[in-house]
Amino acid sequence: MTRLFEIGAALGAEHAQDRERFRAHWDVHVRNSRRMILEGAGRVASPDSVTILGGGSAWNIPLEELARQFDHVSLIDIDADNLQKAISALPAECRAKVEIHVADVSGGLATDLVGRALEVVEMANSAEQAAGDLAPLFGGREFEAGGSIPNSDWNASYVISSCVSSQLTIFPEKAVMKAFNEKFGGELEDDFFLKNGSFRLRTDWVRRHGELLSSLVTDGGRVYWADTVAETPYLAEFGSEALSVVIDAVVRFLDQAYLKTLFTDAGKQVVTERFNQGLPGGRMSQAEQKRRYMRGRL
Amino acid sequence: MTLVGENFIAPNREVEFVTYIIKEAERMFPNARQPILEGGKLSQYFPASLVPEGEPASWLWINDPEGAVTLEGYSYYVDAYVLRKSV
Repeated sequence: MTRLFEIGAALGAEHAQDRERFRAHWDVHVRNSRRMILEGAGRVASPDSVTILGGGSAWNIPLEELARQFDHVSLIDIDADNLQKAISALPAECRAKVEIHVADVSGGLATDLVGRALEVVEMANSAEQAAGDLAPLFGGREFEAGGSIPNSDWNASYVISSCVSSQLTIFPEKAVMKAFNEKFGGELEDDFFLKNGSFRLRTDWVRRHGELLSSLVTDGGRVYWADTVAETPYLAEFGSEALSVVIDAVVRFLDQAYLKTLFTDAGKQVVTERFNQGLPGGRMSQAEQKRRYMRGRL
Repeated sequence: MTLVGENFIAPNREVEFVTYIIKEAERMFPNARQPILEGGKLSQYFPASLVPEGEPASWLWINDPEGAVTLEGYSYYVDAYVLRKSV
């Protein structure tokens, strides 16, 4: 359990950094998430309690609005630091309504899997043996744990799960990679989990998560369930052909853009420096003409 | 260095720029969009006891713009639903 919480805190901290760094890029996601969550809240006839599974620091959860609308809010995550941050950001009158639970929101699946996997690493005499025994466990072939029945305090008239269910297997994977590395001094291959069927395990856990949500919501209540269903653009392994397409797209975009407002001052400086680097002598090439044209527009 | 995610491009224009690249990559390579969940739709995972209510929503979440422009992924399609218990 401790190992799972450590990984949760580390990934939570990374997530918080990305949130700050890519604030503008995340804006659509944050606004849509908040809007949909409030829409669901508006459909709850008896707004007595809301349970938020894996909300972390609640950066995409309208926590204050929910705390005003509902009598009680349970915020549950494995990342204690971010839970505390979420509470601290609330006005005092809302803070009193929010209770935090540092717990595994998978309903015990992640805890069970980490426990068994760490035991495999601990007992193994070699990295090969450990990898061989971990493979079926993370492929879902030898993992039939039912998890545990969550605390009845989690039952609520509104249950929220936002981009959690498809991430549940990541925490055990990271925890085991760390333990493996610590014991054997080498890392599992990057695609170890994928190659061994982690896609199947993830799918199974998402299905179970749906059942967990249903078991937690009280009669007449509502569930908000959102998750990532596809990743894009996933083309790195397609090599130079895909890269050429992107470079062409960049050139088309820049050709139509008003560059003086596209770039920040720091950006203009960097781009100008790049244009000035290593231009070949002799007759002006088409690329050189393009560079001079772009430079003029800056 | 890709110039994105480094405050070299005006934030709103950078979102527009990265979105454009993603759409172009998907237009030219339909398999650029990889499912995270089998079937690619969250609705396939609803238990029989929960049914959708109201309009669902879907959107693109640019989680890491650098990953998008280097074609490594890290942008996600999100499905969102409000559900109620079936009678």
